Amino acid sequence: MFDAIVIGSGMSGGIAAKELGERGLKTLVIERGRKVEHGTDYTDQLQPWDLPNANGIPEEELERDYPIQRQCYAVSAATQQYWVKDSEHPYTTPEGKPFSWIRGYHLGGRSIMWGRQTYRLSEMDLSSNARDGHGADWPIRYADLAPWYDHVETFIGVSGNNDGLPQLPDGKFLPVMPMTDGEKLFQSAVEKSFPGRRVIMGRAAHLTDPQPHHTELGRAPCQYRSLCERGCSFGAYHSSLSSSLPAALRTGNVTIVTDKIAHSILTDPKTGKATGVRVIDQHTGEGTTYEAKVVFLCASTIGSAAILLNSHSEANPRGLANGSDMVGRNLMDHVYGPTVVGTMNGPDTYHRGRRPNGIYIPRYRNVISDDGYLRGYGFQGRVMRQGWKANAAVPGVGAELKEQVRHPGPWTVSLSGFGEMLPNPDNRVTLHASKKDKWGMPELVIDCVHGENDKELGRRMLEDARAMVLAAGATITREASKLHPPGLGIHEMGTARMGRDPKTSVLNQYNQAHEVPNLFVTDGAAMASSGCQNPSLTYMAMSARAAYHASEFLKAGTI
Amino acid sequence: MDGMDRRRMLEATAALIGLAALPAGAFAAVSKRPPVLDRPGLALLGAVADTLIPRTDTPGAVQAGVPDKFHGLLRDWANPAHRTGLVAALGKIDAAARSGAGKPFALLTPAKRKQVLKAYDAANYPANPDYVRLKDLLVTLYYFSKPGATVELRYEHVPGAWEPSIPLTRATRTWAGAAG
Repeated sequence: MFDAIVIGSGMSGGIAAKELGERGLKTLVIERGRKVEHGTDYTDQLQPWDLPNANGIPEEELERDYPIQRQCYAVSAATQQYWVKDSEHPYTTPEGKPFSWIRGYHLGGRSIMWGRQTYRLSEMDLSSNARDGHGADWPIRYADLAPWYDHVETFIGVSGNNDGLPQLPDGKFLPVMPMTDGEKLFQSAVEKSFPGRRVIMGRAAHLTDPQPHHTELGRAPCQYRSLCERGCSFGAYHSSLSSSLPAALRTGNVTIVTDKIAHSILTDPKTGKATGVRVIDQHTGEGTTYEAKVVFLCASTIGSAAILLNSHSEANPRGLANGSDMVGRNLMDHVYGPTVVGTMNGPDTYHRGRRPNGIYIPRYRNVISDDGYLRGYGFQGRVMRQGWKANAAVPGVGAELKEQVRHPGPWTVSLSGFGEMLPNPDNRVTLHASKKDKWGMPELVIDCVHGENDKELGRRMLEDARAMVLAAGATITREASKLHPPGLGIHEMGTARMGRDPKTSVLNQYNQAHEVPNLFVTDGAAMASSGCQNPSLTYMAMSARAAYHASEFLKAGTI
Repeated sequence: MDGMDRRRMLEATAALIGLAALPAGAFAAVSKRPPVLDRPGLALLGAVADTLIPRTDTPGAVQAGVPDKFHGLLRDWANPAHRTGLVAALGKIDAAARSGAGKPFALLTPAKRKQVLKAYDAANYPANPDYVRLKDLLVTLYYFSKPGATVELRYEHVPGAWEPSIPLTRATRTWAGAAG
């Protein structure tokens, strides 16, 4: 019997385990995938000439086993171990409604391959549902999260500037990674041409100046290799393996089991409370039950919804904590796809090192003025000199081609939008009526499409990106106008939303299930709206905050 | 093919990729799959790679082992459609040599090869997807190779620092590694 079980070891589960362990709770972390050892299992030592097949996964294998995962930019031979085989983990989407579910089932989950961009939600974001009536009103506001953002940023280490923007609150930052000269030029052109828009340096979970609490965990400063998605042997970016799980384990209160697939959360029919978690060994198929006083569900937005739906019982025929029928609904991802690339003139300078971070343009639409649609979008980008690959993508052969590639190319600006998708109860995850996976778990049906406002954001972000690139004097060389299928933003959220009313939401202001007081869901499933910022920091802040409240409730004997 | 041509082709192969010292079965020893190209095909590949990225003041594609690595991609990486397309792209360059210069590409002088490939490239880049893929793979293998990354370009596996502004002169080389 444990005090707490955390289902999932990724971004949210890692922080939940650390916080629960530090509060003295005997905690079990259940991971469905295999164990990955920090450092020894990474491929970051591979030099370019060591990469098998020029870093490509054999094409037939890619087509057979990774038809969805291969859509993600970070999939390569060097990172192959971190992506699920779609052939082993099928799901269904209705005809004409693709959803790209990008995942990794291993210790640490997607915290190994994440993009590391780290932003706070603002008061504007947390009040958006109340303001325009879409989705359920968040039961918390910025003041509830702010101290937990401080707490998590300090622990994980985030490089960035305090930019003084109300729509993108400042935080506890390590030294910023400076802009290139091309980025400074772009920044001044955009800020001059478009009052109200700001071009800032990206905030990223990398150690630019490790503090004692980082070095104690064996973490070292960023080496500017940009090999992050392979896993970083320096522990320079925050992941569960480099940071939260080592901190959890050193409390002496945390146990980790791998290769155990959470099947369902068990409840006591008399009290309605969770009593434990039923798991299936991924290799033997053997079932086991772990018991605990409190359960934290951190299995990722879609994974957590699946476990709740699969935890149906006589008392809860529709699944656990699902009296509202909101479990699995309101699936969101960021509106993503439109990208503009251009070349521009700039100073005769270059850069050294591979900065694993870019520039960021925080949301400016519907911030001060009313732009005629709802919510808004931000941009991630960079301005660097064109590299060898693009230098070589021109007609020409022989010594002239070598000469062309040898010299750094022109300044190249790229911008990609990330827009806020509205919560819509029809965008949902359900259990397939008959299909089962190889462990006997019901397959999922994911039914999710962009709505009219989402599509409008896509059109507007493309127009704005063009206008900003042109304002910097650039010539557009390439653009992508289409929205990617939902899911490919890899920011899925919303399937067990927080809210004030148990009739229309799954979780209360503590990420505690309205109907199951000792069950907390602290991953992306809890999100009542999506903002347009990269969401991982918010999941971590909610996990730490919920761990505090759960521990207090346990002490008080109220759960 | 007459006896003279055959001998010259074998010599060309040997010079370009050291194949004479390497039995044809050597490829099979490191891979479970059989080789895709026969000896004339390998000679053609070596000649195309050498012409696309020749030795200058730095090693070229052949010195960087690109033909062998490309043959590895054909065998172990490409799907059947792309494998066929890549082999066909090489064949079309050879056909252009035969029709334009009267000889297989591998048997032409370096200057003549360059003339043929330059004209073929001008007509086929970027319109011909098989040729674009062929060129992209040869280029990628070269700049990923140790000579391509460290002698022709500059590569630091662990830069250790981010310097956002350094002087750029005609002597400055492009950074190798992650494409950017």
